[in-house]
Amino acid sequence: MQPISRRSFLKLAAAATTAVALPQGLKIDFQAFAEEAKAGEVTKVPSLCNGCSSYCGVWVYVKNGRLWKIEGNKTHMKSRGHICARGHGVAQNVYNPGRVTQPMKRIDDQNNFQPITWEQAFQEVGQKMKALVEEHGGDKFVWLCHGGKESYAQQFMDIIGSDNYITHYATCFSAKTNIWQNMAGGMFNSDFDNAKTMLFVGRNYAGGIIPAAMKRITQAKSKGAKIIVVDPRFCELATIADEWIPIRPGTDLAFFLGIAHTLISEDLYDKKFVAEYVYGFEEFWAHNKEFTADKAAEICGIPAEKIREIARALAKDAPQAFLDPGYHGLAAHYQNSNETMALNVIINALLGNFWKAGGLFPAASTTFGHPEATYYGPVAAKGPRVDGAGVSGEYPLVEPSRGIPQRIPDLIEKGRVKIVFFYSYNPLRSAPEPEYQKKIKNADLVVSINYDWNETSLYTAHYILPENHYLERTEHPKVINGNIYWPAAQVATRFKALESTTSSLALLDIMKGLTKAYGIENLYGYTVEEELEAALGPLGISVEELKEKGCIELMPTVLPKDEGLTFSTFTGKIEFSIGAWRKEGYLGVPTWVPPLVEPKNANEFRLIHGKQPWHSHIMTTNNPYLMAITKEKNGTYMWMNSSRAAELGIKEGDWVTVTSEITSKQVQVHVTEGLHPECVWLPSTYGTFSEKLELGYGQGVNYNDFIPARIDKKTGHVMGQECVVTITKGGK
Amino acid sequence: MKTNKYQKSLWTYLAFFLLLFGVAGAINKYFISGEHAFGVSPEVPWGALISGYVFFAVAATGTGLVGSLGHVFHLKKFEPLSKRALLASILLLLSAFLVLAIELANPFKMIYLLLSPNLSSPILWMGVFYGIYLILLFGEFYFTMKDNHKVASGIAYFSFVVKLAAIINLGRVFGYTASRGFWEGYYYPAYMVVSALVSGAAVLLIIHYFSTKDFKVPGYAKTQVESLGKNLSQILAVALLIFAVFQAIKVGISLNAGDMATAEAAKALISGPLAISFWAMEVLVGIVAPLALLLGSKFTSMGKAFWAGILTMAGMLFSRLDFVYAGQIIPLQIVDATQQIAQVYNAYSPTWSEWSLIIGALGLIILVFDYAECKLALD
Amino acid sequence: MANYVMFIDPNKCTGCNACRIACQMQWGLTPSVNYNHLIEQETGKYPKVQRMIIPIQCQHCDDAPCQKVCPTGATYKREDGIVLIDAKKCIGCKYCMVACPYNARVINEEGVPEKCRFCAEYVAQGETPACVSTCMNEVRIFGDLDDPASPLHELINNQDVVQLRPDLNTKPRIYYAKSKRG
Repeated sequence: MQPISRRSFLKLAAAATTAVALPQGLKIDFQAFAEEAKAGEVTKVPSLCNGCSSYCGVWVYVKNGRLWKIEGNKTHMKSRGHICARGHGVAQNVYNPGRVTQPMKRIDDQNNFQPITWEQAFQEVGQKMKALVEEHGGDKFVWLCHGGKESYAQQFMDIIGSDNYITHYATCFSAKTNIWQNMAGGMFNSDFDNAKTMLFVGRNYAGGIIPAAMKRITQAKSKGAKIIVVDPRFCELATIADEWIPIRPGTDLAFFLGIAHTLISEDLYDKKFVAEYVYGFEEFWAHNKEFTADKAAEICGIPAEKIREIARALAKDAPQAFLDPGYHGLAAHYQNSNETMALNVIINALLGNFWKAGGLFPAASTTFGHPEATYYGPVAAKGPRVDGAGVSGEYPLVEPSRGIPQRIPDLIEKGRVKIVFFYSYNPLRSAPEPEYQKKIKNADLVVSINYDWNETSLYTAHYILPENHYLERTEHPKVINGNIYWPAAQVATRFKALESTTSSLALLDIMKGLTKAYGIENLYGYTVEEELEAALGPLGISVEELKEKGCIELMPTVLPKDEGLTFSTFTGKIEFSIGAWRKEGYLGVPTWVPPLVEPKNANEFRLIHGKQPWHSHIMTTNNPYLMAITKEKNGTYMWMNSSRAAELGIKEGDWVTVTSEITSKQVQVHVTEGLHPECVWLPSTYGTFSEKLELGYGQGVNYNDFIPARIDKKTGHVMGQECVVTITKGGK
Repeated sequence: MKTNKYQKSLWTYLAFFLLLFGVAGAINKYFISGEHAFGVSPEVPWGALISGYVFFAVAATGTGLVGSLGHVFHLKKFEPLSKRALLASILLLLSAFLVLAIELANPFKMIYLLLSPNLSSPILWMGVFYGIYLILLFGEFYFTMKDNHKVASGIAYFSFVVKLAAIINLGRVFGYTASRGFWEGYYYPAYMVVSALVSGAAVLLIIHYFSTKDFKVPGYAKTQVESLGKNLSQILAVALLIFAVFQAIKVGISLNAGDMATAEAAKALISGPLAISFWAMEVLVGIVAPLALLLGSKFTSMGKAFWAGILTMAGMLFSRLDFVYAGQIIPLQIVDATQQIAQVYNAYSPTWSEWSLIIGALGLIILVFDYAECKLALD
Repeated sequence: MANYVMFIDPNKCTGCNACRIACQMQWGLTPSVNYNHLIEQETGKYPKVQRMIIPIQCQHCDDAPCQKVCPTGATYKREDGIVLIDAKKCIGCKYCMVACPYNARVINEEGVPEKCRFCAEYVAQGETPACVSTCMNEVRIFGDLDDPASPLHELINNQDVVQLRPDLNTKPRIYYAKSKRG
């Protein structure tokens, strides 16, 4: 298949006047692969994978203008030379037929669209936006995105007066970031290389993969480090653990309280560290001194002796021991997730492992330069946040930088939101209650900037402005850091590796077009190359150097230290008692809080979810290579404990009907010994309901189908595992 | 040579229809579905077409072996069969090659069998022996038709040795695979020889029935014809009995084999996915029913013997399908020989294209044989 | 010439399938043509559960059944130990697929069986096979026994090393660390 030029493609597409334009030039052409693979010069371009928020550094190999393969960048601290299956798949998605190939405009309620030119798209969207902002105010504009990927929107929102930059994090980990910010002044990350005992609770590095983490965990293990995995499911990380300890889902808080109690009551905690660096220890202990390991055992199902044993093992190896702060697991799951996150900070503080080798460290960082401002026009005063994040009387404790994305239809109905922009975010599939999320369509203007025909674009967008694939663009650089310990910050970016065969654009170009049509002159008065150069300038790195190395490591700035620790909190210490909570009338320290719902009857289960190692959440179900693995391994199946399955007469592969308070769906069952009997487990991957993602369409179900869209009062999260389902055999 | 006008009969149309069905299957493979026209997979690479090939090749060899009772063993009684037996062998063997050629992805590359033969490969020798056998068959048939019995006999002696080597080697194709416990060893060469005799007797019975329906065989009295029929029936019965005993022993030994995979394969055969095919087709239709017909009529009814022949051949086809699939139905124990075998069988079922090619080949044989009966002096 | 072997430690594998797809990308394979398989075994009863994942690919046997049965010599063994397929000689009889005890071969769109080739063209240039380099857990190590400094010498002469189906005497060139799990 030869890449088609943009002009000839547009001619072709314009000729198609019927509803949905099928992508003409896109087909994962296997013959072409094989032929191209045989001959031709190879060029190597550095980029960053877009499969997950690790943004692993990759070397992109291009042959005859076509993607050949990618390999991991050895310097990049998340990849260290390795790429997971999703990375390979997502790179190939540049040829995925599910891509939107040019701007689309909705023409009816049956999800039919008509292709339009970029000129027309910018014109119509820009003008409509302007009219709505002028009539209702800029604070009715909402930018819903994954978060952390770009800064272009903020500049525009400053001008129109919108404070509504809302990220997806409430579905991901807002309990964690919120609590760590409050208690420790920011996130801290594990040092696998030097740890002797590692406790992972609800964190599966081998499913929600960071390649460098797995590499360092397996290396540490070969040097004798102990790995303990506590999880209702025998997850992929448990495969290499020294111990898998199943826990009753929703009760991890009890387990943590039991550990903390043991550490304190048996005098195993680091007294010196606590005395110097902890605020609120006495308050915590006063409220929790009755919560023994025995009490914990009653609730969570892990034997008291085992809880004590783990506490003692951690204490023995402390400070070269940690409870991994985790990622998504537990951080947006239960009514008690906030307290659970708080106990994570507390246990690590009791071990005194902050800033110690084998313990936890903050992320190293750096700042980029900026191109000179090119806009000198007026900016508007920002109205209040529509989602209530950080707003007194609404959700004062929720971090405004993260926002609350899951109940936008309510805000639309109340007239608080008129314009919705989606960027790299698909809430119809990744947020709870898809039928409710579909109502986002009712806003006055909905624009989706995504790369494929995902559910949000198909069902709610009035306009789809396709972003190109990551391989097709150069971007402003990123600081490479976070999630796992690394002493130095790194700098990397994406360099354009392939010419686009579609009429899609990079976000910067889309924003330029939109703002120009809106009437804002020269807001982004620079090219991405100029931006890149301006960013790297202060760091003394040239663009050529970055392109040659792919990832450049700066001087180490985060190294172990024994003294002079400070934390960016009000007291400068780790706060076991959160002042902001007390201000709102809550208890400052965490105590036991049960989960919101619990299964009781013989056919009731808690529905829990997790990652599948060869898929990236919901975004890879249209990839033929990754779905081939799904097919071979029955990846869509729901896991059920064998004894519960036997009670219900369910055998491997049987269809069952799963019913929650909001929906009922059918799925096949995988019967396993590796799951707590109280729950059933779904991979978070499936349930694609966009017909235009043909490979994924109709495959499996998603946990988000079953849960109502809730908002945790303190940290805004969705409580994604507060879901009891009834399961009966049959239905298909 | 007779120069009769070919009379189209019901058989012609039937045969032509069957052949057309086969052509449809071939078209599907070459122009529409490619590799996906057939039900084979990496787990079960050999399917109905390999079974079909074995069916036709063994039938050809068997017909040749039983037919050689005339020219090689000089049993005068069997001489009337010679021409038809040779013709049937040729057609059956050509069908075997045709089915195999369509099964193969790249039959034209068989030139490399000559250019770079791998002498350790049983399939290479299969090509060699059956290639030579086909040439010898043509030779023997030609000289027999020319009534040059001296040369024909000479070829027949040589051919006898070659066809024995061919049939034993065909068994060795399967027996040589250490990875497939059910096939491995010395049984399948023996199976091939015995089932060749069964097939040969059955084919000749069918031919004998058609060619002597009105007992108008010049040079031979009615009693001689009947006696030949009776002898063929006896040969078939004895061969069936030996075959049944062999298969029973094979199944029995396999069930008790120390090798888990072999035991599981045997179980699959007699009580698993292959059970119906085995018991209903191979045993009941292919052995019990024919024996009942033959023994019940005390070998005197040509009509019943004919049906015994037909049923035997049906049973033979399923026997090939059964043992070929049985050897692959159990997932490989890759790690070690004590590895637990998953309770899942490797799935395989023949697609319509695979059936069509076997049926088409039968149609071709009937069509050509019918035509030859008319155009050639086969008595 | 070199003398290639591979060492696989299944105790480290967590079943992410990156090796499978990295290989497919390297060789431009279609999604259903896959040279790498993972055998997964769950053992034990709740809550005492173990899981073992064993990566399988062509073992490049020194006494390869596939090579012995190939009628035209299309399957051949290179001096450096790698077993390769000369597609121009392949008639597509699939005897090799039937003979292979490791299920290593798959059929491609042209009807020719394909399998892992130890990245033959690339290792000769000093590169590492895709399945080896992409693996985050470093499950596979690939090396040349002709190189006295290669870590493979020590790895494969360890007593805790096993091979697949030793009873079949295929003399594979892949060595596996013994399972450390029950």
